[in-house]
Amino acid sequence: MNAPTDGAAGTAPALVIADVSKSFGDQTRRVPALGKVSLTVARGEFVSLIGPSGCGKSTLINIVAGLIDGYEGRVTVSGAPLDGPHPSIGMVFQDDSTFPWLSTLQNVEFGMRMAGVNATERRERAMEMLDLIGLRSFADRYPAQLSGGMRQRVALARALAMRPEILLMDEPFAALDEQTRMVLGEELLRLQEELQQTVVFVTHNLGEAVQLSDRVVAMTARPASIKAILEVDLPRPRDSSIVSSDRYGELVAHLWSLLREEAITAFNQRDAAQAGAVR
Amino acid sequence: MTTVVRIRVLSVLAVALLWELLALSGAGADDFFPHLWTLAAAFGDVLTSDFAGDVGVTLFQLFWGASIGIVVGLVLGLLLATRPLVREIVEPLLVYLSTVPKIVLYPVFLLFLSVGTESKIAMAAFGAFFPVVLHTLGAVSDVRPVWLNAARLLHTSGGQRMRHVYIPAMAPTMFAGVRLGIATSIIGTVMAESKAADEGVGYRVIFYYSQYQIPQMYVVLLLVFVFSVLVAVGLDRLGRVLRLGGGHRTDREISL
Ligand SMILES: Nc1ncnc2c1ncn2[C@@H]1O[C@H](COP(=O)(O)OP(=O)(O)OP(=O)(O)O)[C@@H](O)[C@H]1O
Ligand SMILES: [Mg+2]
Repeated sequence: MNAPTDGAAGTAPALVIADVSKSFGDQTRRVPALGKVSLTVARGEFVSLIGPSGCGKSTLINIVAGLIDGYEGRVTVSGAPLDGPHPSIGMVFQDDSTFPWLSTLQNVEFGMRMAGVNATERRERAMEMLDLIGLRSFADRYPAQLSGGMRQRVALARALAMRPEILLMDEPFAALDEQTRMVLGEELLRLQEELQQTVVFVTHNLGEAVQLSDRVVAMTARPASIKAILEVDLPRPRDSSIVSSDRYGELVAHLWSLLREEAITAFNQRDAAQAGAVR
Repeated sequence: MTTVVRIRVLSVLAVALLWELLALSGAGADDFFPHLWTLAAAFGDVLTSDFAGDVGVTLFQLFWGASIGIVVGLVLGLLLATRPLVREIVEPLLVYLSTVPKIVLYPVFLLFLSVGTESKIAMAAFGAFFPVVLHTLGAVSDVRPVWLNAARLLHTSGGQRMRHVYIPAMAPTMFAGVRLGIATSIIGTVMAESKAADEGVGYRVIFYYSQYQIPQMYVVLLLVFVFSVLVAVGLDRLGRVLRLGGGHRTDREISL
């Protein structure tokens, strides 16, 4: 009945998450990390996940990445069920993931080299990516010679060089200082206007979420489920000046009103856990 | 840089001077501290004897012994590294064994192998094996999980991750193990030659000693020392060229 045809594959949403839940631990001590989550991400859409610390955002994004199994529910990518890391999914991590034994250029080329892309094309695509993130002049430097923000840009270029249909980003700027993260946020916004990449983006930062996203998914305290989905009706193309618009302020305030209660719940959960640990 | 070189040259000169002072003071019995000029003459003696033959024998044994020990250590280490269960059983055994002085195994090698080359190669191999295998096992903790996840999301196979993530991530610590392994196998070879052998540099030391040719003995010891230093410096350079300077894991006990 639903044999995939070219047309059907073309119209299938980039990502469908259907009733996905996950617990860690065994029967004796089960820690539910993720409640039932259902979410559909369209092609070219930028979706942010935001929620209190420890609620299960990384768990969800790692399931989509194919790094966690043993979950309930279904995930399909372009209509096909997920089984391990999907060839059309790329990811940028919170921690620095650049390979310190490779130069900037070699890092960006890594995935293509593993895939057997020939040297000339590889070099060309990698240089294109370095231009995109403004690191061409650092092509021969090693990660140890780059700042934290530059390394995250290298990790982004390395993921984008594989031309993923879906890019997952788990708090890619969280380890960076405030100013660097603002600069990178602006850069990501610019890239997004240019590439129209499908992105699932985890963040703690309300402003960042609103500025970048088409939709912001507000999550509850652990086990995370979807509390509300905020449509960001700010016009595109956007640039960083958007943060001074009234609508931006309203959306951030609205998002906080959705998350405030959950943040308090999460805070109390942590207090309770600590009290338990002391006892 | 030049300051470092100057300090090194000065310290060598200082040691030589101290030595000569001891020689002049007449400390110890007759020949305990030969004069520098006596040593220089002995140097000529040693070179005109068939010392080159002994050096050849020692280098041969050292080369094969260290190579075998290093290769077996690296391969076994990498195999165990990626198999946590087997590793948990084998690693403590290796740690305990590594603290046993290898020289107590020497009679066993003599028994099963021969008084000749094979027993020395075995000593050298054992000397190299333990530091290499233990460093390789320890190097697994240098592999940050986020590198493996990143590599998986760049769609690599397990074999590719071994070759392009595990090995380069572990290389600095493994290289530190190799350096240490080579040092211990030099000691192992020379020590074995000095116990039971009729050729090799270690034998030559004992030969001069038993002939009471003390200056000649010192000359050979000095040459062994210089050789060890040159090997260490060479490996240092190699490490820098290969960008393997990061490994400074010296927390593992070694003994001979
Ligand atoms: N491998 C694991 N084993 C056991 N528990 C886990 C594991 N991974 C995550 N958890 C637990 O699941 C819950 C959700 O974790 P997760 O990392 O998904 O949260 P998060 O929303 O990404 O948090 P943060 O905002 O701090 O990154 C936490 O309580 C965490 O302790
Ligand atoms: Mg997280």
